[in-house]
Amino acid sequence: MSEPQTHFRTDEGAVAQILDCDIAIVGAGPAGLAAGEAAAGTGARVILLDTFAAPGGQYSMQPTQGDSPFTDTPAVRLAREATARLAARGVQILTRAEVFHAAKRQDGSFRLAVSQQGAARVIRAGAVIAATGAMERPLPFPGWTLPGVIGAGAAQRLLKTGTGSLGPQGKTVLAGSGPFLFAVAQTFAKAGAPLDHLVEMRRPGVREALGLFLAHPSRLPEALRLMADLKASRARRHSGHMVTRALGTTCLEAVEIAPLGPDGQPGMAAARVLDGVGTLAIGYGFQPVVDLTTQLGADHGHDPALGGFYCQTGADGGTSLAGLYAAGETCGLGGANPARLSGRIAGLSAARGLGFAAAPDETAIKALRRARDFAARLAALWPAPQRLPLSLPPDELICRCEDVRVTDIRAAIQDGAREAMAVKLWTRAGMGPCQGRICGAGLSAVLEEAGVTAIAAGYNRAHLPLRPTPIGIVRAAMASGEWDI
Amino acid sequence: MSQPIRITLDGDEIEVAPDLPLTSILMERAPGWRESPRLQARRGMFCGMGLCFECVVEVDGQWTRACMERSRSGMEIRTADQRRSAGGGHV
Ligand SMILES: Cc1cc2nc3c(=O)[nH]c(=O)nc-3n(C[C@H](O)[C@H](O)[C@H](O)COP(=O)(O)OP(=O)(O)OC[C@H]3O[C@@H](n4cnc5c(N)ncnc54)[C@H](O)[C@@H]3O)c2cc1C
Ligand code: FES
Repeated sequence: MSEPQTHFRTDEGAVAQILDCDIAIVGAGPAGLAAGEAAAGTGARVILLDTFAAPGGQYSMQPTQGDSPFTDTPAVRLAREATARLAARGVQILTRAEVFHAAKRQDGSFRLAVSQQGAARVIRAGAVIAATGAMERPLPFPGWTLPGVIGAGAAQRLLKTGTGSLGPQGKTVLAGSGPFLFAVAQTFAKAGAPLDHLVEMRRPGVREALGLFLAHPSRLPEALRLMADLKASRARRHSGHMVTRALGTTCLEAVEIAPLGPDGQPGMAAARVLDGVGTLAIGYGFQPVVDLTTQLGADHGHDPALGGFYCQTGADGGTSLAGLYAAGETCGLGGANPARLSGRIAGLSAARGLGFAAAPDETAIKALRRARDFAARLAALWPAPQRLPLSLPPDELICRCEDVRVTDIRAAIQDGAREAMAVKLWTRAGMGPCQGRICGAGLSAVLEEAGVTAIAAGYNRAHLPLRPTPIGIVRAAMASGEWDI
Repeated sequence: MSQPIRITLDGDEIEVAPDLPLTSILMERAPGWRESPRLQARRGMFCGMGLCFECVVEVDGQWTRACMERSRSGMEIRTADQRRSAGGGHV
């Protein structure tokens, strides 16, 4: 039932395969790929692993169908070529491989427990680089659990890696806030998939945009291309609007939108309903994926401009835990360029830390500063809403895994739960398979209603298994004798 | 396009392209294919990247995320639709 593990076959007696390396890199997006290349170049033995079927992460995700219009984009090529170079250097690349547990041993080395297509592996590493990327930061709104309501990133991934169509009949609405919406609209245009409406909370003024591109003129062509593709998608653009409700009985049928007033609240008197909608792709921004780094106990900071909680690193990519490095969006949102640069820096530092000859790359360090400056200015044009300017009806769900309603959470807070962790123990919100990754932002919004700041609410420190894993694989990995007890 | 392959979806044999994310195949039919544990409410793909577990199905008897699996010849997919008509448990 709510115990997914019971649905797995348990392979009693299965034995974990042990893999040795100097540096293990978790995540094969732009950050992990760059880290791998830098580290392998020093002579270190590197294992690079990723949950997906092919390296690339978000920015460089690989299509599955030969006739896809995405097979030869610069982003897709980037990962394909980096992967070939890594393989030529002898980097061991594990795909469909998910880290579900990690620990640092007293001797200073690390162990990663990995589930790969029905098999258990334990990786021994002298140093670990967490390049686990980012994910959507879902904000709950009335009707958000209806089938057909999906993340903007989910729509993009489906269009890029599937047939090029989203599937459901009916109109498609793309909504939320931030420049990522334009990237998704561009994906619709390139896939040839119809996009009917674009609902955006904020449209930065010409003057603001001008300031950004005067400081970073090299980014202008890319932005102009995005705008041209948005026009080509022929989507009707509703600027200064937000989705106030998703409507339907067993799946999405319609979407209610309303204009935002000067106070930032939706003016419900002017709300209207878009009928005949099959898909609502919605995104209010991203958050770093920090399950691996919180489990290992590294220090994390909180900054709304970086997507909330992020793993703190020094200029060399090192975290507060010796031997653990972090790169890319694990350390805060920023996009593909900072990811690639911070990956290179962390790869070199991790190798140097283990005694390999690797001088710091001062050019990369400088370029990273500049790339992060662009990202910060871009993000400032679309401040991420920390909570939805909508009051949620008591029955609306916050935790999708355990069906926990707003009212249950408000009651727990009333009874004295003042932290994410306490709310979890009271209500089970955050205890399901998503481990709080999906409900975290909604939960902190409800805590904020009660005057508890996100920092005071804290994060759920992830625990074994980071992702639901077949029990036989967990047993095999844990019985390997590789862990301090 | 490569040759289509045959798979079984809730007891029906269908033809699909090989190596396709299962979410592509399932969304084409109807966007809700799972039931939530307490309310038994319809759910389907949400994050599309392996982190929410809303898209879970059974493939050849194993609990798995549809968004992370690809179509392979002969695979058998079971969703809440079949379990409901068969009166079995649910994911
Ligand atoms: C949904 C989404 C869509 C995006 N689309 C775009 C876009 O179109 N254009 C753009 O410029 N930017 C996009 N971005 C921003 C994007 O994240 C960055 O540009 C870039 O991909 C960041 O690189 P990264 O290497 O830090 O992380 P990512 O590219 O996210 O790579 C991280 C990788 O780590 C893997 N991973 C995480 N945890 C584990 C684990 N426990 N075990 C194994 N593997 C794990 C993930 O599977 C993933 O492949 C998107 C971000 C998101 C969240
Ligand atoms: S849709 Fe979120 S895990 Fe598959």
